[in-house]
Amino acid sequence: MRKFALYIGILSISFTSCDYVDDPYPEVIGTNADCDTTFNFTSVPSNQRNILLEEFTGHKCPNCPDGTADVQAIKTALGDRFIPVAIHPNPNEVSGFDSFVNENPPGTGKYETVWYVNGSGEIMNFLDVYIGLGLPTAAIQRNLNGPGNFYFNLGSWGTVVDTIINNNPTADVGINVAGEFLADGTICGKSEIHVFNSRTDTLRVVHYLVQDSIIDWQLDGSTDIPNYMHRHVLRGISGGDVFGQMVSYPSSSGVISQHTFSFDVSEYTSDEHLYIVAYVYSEATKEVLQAEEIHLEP
Amino acid sequence: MLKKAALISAGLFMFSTAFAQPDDPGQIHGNVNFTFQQYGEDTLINAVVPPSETAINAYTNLIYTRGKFSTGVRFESYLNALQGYPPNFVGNGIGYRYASYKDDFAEITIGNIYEQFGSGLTMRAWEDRTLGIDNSIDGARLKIKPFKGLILTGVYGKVRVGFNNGLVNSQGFIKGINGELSINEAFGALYDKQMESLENNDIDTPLKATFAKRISEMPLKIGLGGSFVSKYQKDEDPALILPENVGTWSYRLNLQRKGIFWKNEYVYKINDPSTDNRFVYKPGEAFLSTLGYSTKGFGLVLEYKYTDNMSYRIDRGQQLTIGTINFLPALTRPHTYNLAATLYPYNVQFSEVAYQANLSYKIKRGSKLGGRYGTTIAVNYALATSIDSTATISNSNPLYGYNADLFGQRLEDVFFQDFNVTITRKLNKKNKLKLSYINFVYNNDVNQSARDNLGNEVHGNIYAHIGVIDWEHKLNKKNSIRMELQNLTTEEHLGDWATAVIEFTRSPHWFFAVMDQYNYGNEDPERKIHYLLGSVGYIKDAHRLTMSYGRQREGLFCVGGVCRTVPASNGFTVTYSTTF
Repeated sequence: MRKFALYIGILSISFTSCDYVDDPYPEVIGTNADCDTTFNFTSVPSNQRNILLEEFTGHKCPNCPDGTADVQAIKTALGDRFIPVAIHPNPNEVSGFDSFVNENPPGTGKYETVWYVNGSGEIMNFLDVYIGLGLPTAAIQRNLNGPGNFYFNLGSWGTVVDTIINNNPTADVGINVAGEFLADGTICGKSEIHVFNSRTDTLRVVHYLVQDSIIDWQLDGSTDIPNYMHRHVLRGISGGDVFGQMVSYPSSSGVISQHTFSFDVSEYTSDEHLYIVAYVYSEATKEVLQAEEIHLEP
Repeated sequence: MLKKAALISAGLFMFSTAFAQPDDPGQIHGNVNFTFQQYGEDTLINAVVPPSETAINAYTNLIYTRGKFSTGVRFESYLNALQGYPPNFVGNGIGYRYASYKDDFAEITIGNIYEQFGSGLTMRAWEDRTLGIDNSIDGARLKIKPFKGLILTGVYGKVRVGFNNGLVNSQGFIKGINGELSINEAFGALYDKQMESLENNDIDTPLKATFAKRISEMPLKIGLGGSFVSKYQKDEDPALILPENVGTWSYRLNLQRKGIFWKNEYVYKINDPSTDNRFVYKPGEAFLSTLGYSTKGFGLVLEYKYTDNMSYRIDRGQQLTIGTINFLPALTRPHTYNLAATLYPYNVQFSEVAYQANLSYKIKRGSKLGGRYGTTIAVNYALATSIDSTATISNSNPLYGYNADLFGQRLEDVFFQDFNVTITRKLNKKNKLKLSYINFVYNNDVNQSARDNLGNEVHGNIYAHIGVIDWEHKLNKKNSIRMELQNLTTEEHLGDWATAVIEFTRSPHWFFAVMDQYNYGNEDPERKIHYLLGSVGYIKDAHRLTMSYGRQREGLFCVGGVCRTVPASNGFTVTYSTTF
């Protein structure tokens, strides 16, 4: 009998070793609890491929205004299909760019703004940054520029963007994105990933908070420009997670995966040109399959 | 490292002396195996030359047994690992060590453990060094036999997920329990006990004893089994609530009566989101059934398997062959002929419905059809298809994946089909002939191993026919020659192939072989490539040394449905093995 009790005991302990999860999504802290159900997407997103250009830049980078000019030229030509994000690498996360991105101490009157954010250096690490890489440089759709190299030098960006659009005009993935400002000083939103064609690789979605048209100091060549307009600046990464959320989908096509995101924007006012960029990439190749941006109503 | 190995060995030896008979010196057994490969450039087949230009996989097992005690270590070396070997095998060191004590009631093992519950669908800790699989459990195992017919096994430990100058274990761990009950043996034990009671004049005993004896001796043998396994891995995902403890359990029923046997196992796994299933929270389910009959000269085995979302790893982010806890058997024939084995090997899917029928019949010797020595006919049919799943969209939560009913399948979505017939006949004292026909339907959207001349993946089904003539001729008492001619035809991939093998054996020590695999049907004249390989081997007692030189085609190397990628190579290979 004692033995029997022992066996039952072992079995009982074993059977308690199961965690059934009823709701896979954690509560979104700091945002409206209804956030993830507020938005109902009624249309299927476009499968027209948009191009994400992650421009790595710095306010003390003398050639970076040339990069911004190139980006703006492409934006003018392609409109909504082209989604640039200017990323100031976080010197605490990636080395080699400190002199371009470091801020001056308060009271010095210029270059006091901290442009980098948590994760903005990790992005470069994730994209296999290498010694000797200068700024500005860009990752375009995270396509490879030779073996193991995700970075394209200034001057080639327009050609690379054109090549991608011409060779791969449609995407396997579509994204619906929506978001809103909440009274508690957060932006709350949801994206919906549609997988149009069967794929077998693991996909991830990342949400950026981006701000456009900010007037601040910028070094241009050897000239300090006090009222330079900074464009498409990365202000935050949802959850601080540069790798993003796993897109859950079975191998069949036509499935949808939904993801919530939130940003603390209490330091901004709603009309400061804030917008959201969402993109989906393949974990295996790091290639961005699709990107979308939405501008929030104040 | 050697110092560490010596310390471990000395420690285990000292531990052994505590349990052993003082007059028993014990025994040491083991084996040694190494494969050395030198890689050469060959742009025609895109041969990969690593920076080191050479590679070696080597290991030696040392097992010491003394009375009821045994202990063992394995020294492993990958400097560097062979090309195509999983990336988690690096350096020199000890990858396996254990100590075990066993008597009639219990067996306790500490250290690395290989173990299987049932058919392995819930747990299989095993190794296959040719595939680069070693998922031994590093912890403890207790096996007890409370009474005759019942065996209970419990395991607790981490899972080996790699080798980097020593054992690399998982962050998480597993715990499992398994029971096997033989009804007939248990009633046999009960009968013995009742008979003992009879001597004590228990009046009810004769009736109970008669019943127990009848059950124990009945021709139908009944076996029951059950397993429970749970894995623990911390949830560090900021975006999802992941189950940290994932349990899976199974029930088994085995029946046997004379030449007929029927084995069944049902398995259930709770929500286990992972990279393998795109992080869906749907539970997994599996059912495996094998029905067989054999008698002299005739054998028939029918198998059925249903698996849905049955990937089960210690680390939800792992892929390939790393960190697997369970094993999904392939219901396909493991081919040995070169073209059938290397061009379209089946890679078992985590969700599939599979069938297999194996028929073997020996036509009697002396009959018209059977000839003087008899003729054996083996027929095999295997089919793997998709389960019937319905994608969940819009309103319901996509993280729950899809709906699937147990046994539901989509016959039109064939993953793999194999029909093959082999006829073996000894013609006379000197000649033996084997003829084979193999027909494949290979869905490359699922298997993803076939590539075209430009290296792009081929889409859709590949239909292939293979014919093989295998002739063995004894020249005299010492010398024999064997020849294989194989031909494969297909229109959906790289065209037709042929392989010729000629092998000369001089007993008892030497063999020489030449093999040529030739893609004569490739539409690109420059890709009509000969993959020529020459081998020479020397065997003496337990020692076996083989040297080969030539080309190896890129592709999948599979054993029992578990595969690894093998890159193209051209070079010199030496393998040596021995046991002692």
